[in-house]
Amino acid sequence: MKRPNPPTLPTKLLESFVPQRTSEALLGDLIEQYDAGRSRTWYWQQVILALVISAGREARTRKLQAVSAVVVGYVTGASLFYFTTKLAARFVGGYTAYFVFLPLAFVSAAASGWILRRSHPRAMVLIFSGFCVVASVVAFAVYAWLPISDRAPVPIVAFFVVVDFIIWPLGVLAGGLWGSSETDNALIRHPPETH
Amino acid sequence: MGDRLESFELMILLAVLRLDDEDAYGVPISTEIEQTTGRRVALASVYAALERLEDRGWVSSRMGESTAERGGRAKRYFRVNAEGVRRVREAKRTLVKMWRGIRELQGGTT
Repeated sequence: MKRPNPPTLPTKLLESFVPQRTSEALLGDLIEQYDAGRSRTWYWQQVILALVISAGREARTRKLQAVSAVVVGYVTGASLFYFTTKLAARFVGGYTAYFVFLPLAFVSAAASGWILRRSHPRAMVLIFSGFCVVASVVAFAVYAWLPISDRAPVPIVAFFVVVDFIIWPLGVLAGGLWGSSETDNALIRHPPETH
Repeated sequence: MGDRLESFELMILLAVLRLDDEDAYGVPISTEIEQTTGRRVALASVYAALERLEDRGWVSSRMGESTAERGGRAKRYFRVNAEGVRRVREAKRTLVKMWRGIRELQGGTT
């Protein structure tokens, strides 16, 4: 009996964010091993490791592009989030406004991921997403040193934890995946000329 | 990092040298290392090391045909170049030299 297909999401992540030089052969090897009986967990672990290794390698070898990706991603995402939440705050108030801000954060992050995928090499989406998580860890570490009297109310802190560690990195990746599929479709419609 | 040969890279070079040209792709290379060392090896680490070695010109690669059982993805075959073989020999010579004259390492197999 043939095994079910390997999980789609990690396959798509590897195809979208790891340079093709590596992803093509690596994915073939992963599928071969998965068909030979390796588990879905093993498949996910291998893909996550490949994403981390690839992001580190690309960040080391393309430092300028990595810095540019972080700046572009931050400026687009943060400004979009700022203006949309400002607009939304006119119509909703109090703590309920934060429930409206959550999807706005996701859309803003996805937009920055989409722009990065279209304007930078594919691994840069991953680098920006990783940068967001690291920056959040630093921000919360600094926040932890503040005197208790200076701290924000718990629901607001919880909101920022969810946004910074879950919504934002996932939004960037989702936007990057969306940008990848559009790039792939464009290649199908207009294949590169062969000489 | 430069062009120093790390121990994991040395293992990769030895694994590729042990395999035939038609077998030296990601899965058999990692299996070879796992069987010899008893350590689990991630495919992504194998590719990362192979690409570093390729960038230094110690290893070369070529893409094979894509096959249905690999989801239409091609295999990437690796081969150790003359410079790679020279580096492996050099590493062996250095290790053997370091080994000599150590009383604790003489006489036993473990």
